[in-house]
Amino acid sequence: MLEDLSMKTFNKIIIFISMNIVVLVLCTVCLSEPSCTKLLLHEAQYGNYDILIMGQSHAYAGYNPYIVSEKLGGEAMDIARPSTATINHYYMLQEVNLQKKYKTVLFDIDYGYWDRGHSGRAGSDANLLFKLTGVRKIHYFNDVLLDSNYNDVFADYKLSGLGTIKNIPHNLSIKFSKDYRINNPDIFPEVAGFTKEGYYKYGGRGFYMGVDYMKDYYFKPLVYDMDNIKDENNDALIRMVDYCKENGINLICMSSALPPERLKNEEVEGFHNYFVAMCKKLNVPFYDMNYVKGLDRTGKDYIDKEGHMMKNLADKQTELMCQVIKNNNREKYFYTTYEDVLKNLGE
Amino acid sequence: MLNGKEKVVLWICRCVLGMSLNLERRDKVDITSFQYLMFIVIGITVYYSIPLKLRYKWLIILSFLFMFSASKFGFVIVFCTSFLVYKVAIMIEYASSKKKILLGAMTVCIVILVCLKYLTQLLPETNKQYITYYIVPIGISYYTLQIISYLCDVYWERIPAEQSYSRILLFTCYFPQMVQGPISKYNEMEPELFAEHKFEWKNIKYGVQLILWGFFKKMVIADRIGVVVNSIFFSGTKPYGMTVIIGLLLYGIQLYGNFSGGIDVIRGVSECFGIGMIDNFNQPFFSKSVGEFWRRWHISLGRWMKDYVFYPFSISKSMGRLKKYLKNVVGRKYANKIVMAVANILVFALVGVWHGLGTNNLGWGLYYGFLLAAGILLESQCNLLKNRLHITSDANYWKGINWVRTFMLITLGWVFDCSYSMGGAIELVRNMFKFKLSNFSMFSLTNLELVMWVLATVTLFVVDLLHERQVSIRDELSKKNYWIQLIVWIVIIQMIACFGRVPDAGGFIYENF
Repeated sequence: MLEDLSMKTFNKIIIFISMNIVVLVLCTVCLSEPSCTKLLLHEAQYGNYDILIMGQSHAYAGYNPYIVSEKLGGEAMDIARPSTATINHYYMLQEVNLQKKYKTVLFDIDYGYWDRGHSGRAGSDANLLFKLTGVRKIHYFNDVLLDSNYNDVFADYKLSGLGTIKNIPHNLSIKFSKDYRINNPDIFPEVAGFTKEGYYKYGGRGFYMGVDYMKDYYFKPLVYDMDNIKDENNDALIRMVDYCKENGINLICMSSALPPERLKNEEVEGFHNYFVAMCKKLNVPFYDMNYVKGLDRTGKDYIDKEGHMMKNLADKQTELMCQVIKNNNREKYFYTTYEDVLKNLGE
Repeated sequence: MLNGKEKVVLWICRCVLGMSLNLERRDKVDITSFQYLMFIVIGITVYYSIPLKLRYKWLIILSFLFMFSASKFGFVIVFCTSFLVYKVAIMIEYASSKKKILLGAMTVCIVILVCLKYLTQLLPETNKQYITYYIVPIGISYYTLQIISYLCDVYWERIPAEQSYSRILLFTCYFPQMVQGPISKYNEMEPELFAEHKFEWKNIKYGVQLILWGFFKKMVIADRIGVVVNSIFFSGTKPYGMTVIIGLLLYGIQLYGNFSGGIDVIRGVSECFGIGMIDNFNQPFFSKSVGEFWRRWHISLGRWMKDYVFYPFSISKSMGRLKKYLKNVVGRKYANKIVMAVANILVFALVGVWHGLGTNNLGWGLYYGFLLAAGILLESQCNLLKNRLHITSDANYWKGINWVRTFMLITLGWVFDCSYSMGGAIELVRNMFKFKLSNFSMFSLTNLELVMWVLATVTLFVVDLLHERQVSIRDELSKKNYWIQLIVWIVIIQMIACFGRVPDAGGFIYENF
């Protein structure tokens, strides 16, 4: 075949491929944000922790790792990141537990993610290929990326607004800093884009402390479609359960409490029942904090209508959750029906 | 435990076998996936590295692996069906009761299609997924029509029966067309599939260009619009007034970008193997009548329906009797027209049902059937009126009026696609006129996304316009300096990377039909 190619054509192909690689790398360096996951994985892997909190944005704002440490006895670290696909959690868990030190994993199930898969997500934390080490890199490629859209595999960026372009100097200054390269946890607030006037403050150990209400945040009620639950998410959860069983880890699933307005307007009950049944089948405890008694709250306890908690509510939820885990008495701590949940809601 | 070398071999095997060794549950083969690209790259490399005579056999192997990845035992059905067709075609050539044999074989093919494709839709979701995963062959709707066309062509002595089973097998299961067509005829595909294709750089270059252009249409244009269309029609909230109208306009562009983009990817893949396939689209949005639109949109299906349903039905005995009766009632001229109109309604109703069993699909077919029938029946009155008003058909303003009329009728027809039932479609039309209730918060695009989407759509329009004027962009571009070509394709690749990712955008609409 190759003898049919003239040297000139061959050179043109090589130049074409090389130029594309150069542009791809340049765009990745400039446009993709510096990775919070990279820093969190490093801290969770090498820090002195034995309790891991995982999930998406509800988990980084909803559970205070310091209270978890105090109440459950141990040292907790929160590696939750927004938009993390469930299959990525499975690989992140393996990566941080290389030294087999984790005894408990608290995994927050956000219903809103269960009908979305890995495909089409961009950003420095969507593709874990270069954040994983050893054989996990190959497994991840084989498992996740081979099935993904080709630009999910190569290009780790997208242009979603002028902000992406404005961020280029910030991206470059962080990526080329020594602290970022050596995974210094002190640089996390800068990488995550925390500012003095922001809605969050960084509490350390991956915890986002909600401090201010986001007035302009637009949130459209979600239409949950049970038929659209993705098998890839269920498969990933099953794999996490198996991994935890094999490694003697106590996996606990939970769901962070949503604002009263969402509970009133969305079909949360269907998903609750779905995960209760699923976790029962997998023999994993599942604590849906939407059903917990005594977590009095109003919309003002959240930084937005979507359900990211202010610090006070997060602390309250964390304390309750730890009590629940310790006592394991469902009747005492949880409402049994959704009607009861709605009856006891605040504004 | 596998050693390093074995792991590498296993990984390569997995790529070669495409998705075959992947035992995860999968209900669709995504032709935009990296895995499919690997499958194609390795498939092409092997194809051009083996002796010419073996190349079409390699295509059979690739096709079977592709089918196996989509449904675990579907390939058995393809194997058996194609063997039946092969034997029956030979029997038709020599037997005395040709018609009975033809009808028998066609019935078997249609029964298999109906049972596997349509009746399974009535089963509960879990069983349906199970049957799709294990039994229903990918592309069953496309290849069934292809093999029926082959049998009919042999019956009508347009082509001789093929004496080699492997050739019929490849014609049936050639993997690029299994995804979403086009529906080819044997006499067109035979010289392409079985010619001894030598490696030509131009084929690879043009093929890759077509694939990239297909991805651009699908990912940058269709998927992005799809977010808005889904939010308007499929998010549970009812749209009204201008929201419906804009939604329908956007849906037309989405469907065109999605379907024609998919066909471009398929044709591009096939071109890389040196095998040309017919184009399914010929700039349909430049049509000046509904009939012309359907001659330019999903061309292969329209052509199939015309050749194997419309004409046989028009000249059938029952239609002959109807024509005879009508001649006495309305005269010869109108008798012919009524027969044509009835045949059109039947063809489009069938096309509607081919798309699915929902009442909206039937409604879609009847809508276009009746539109075309009205066009045929009112043609002479329209011409009369045109003459009285001194309108010449070549006048630009008249062409413009026709274009606007066609575009509006086609856009209105999308209501059947954007609803779940005939009742839903009618309600959508009613809601279209409640302008006060229009809600524009459903168009959740950022300014940059909007600008990029408009630019991409304008690019698509310009490319179609140039094609309409018989300009071959690929040929024109290949005459340009190498660096200009390089920049153009890097920009397209980067556009796909930067704007072509929409979370859970889904596959091609006509994929795995």
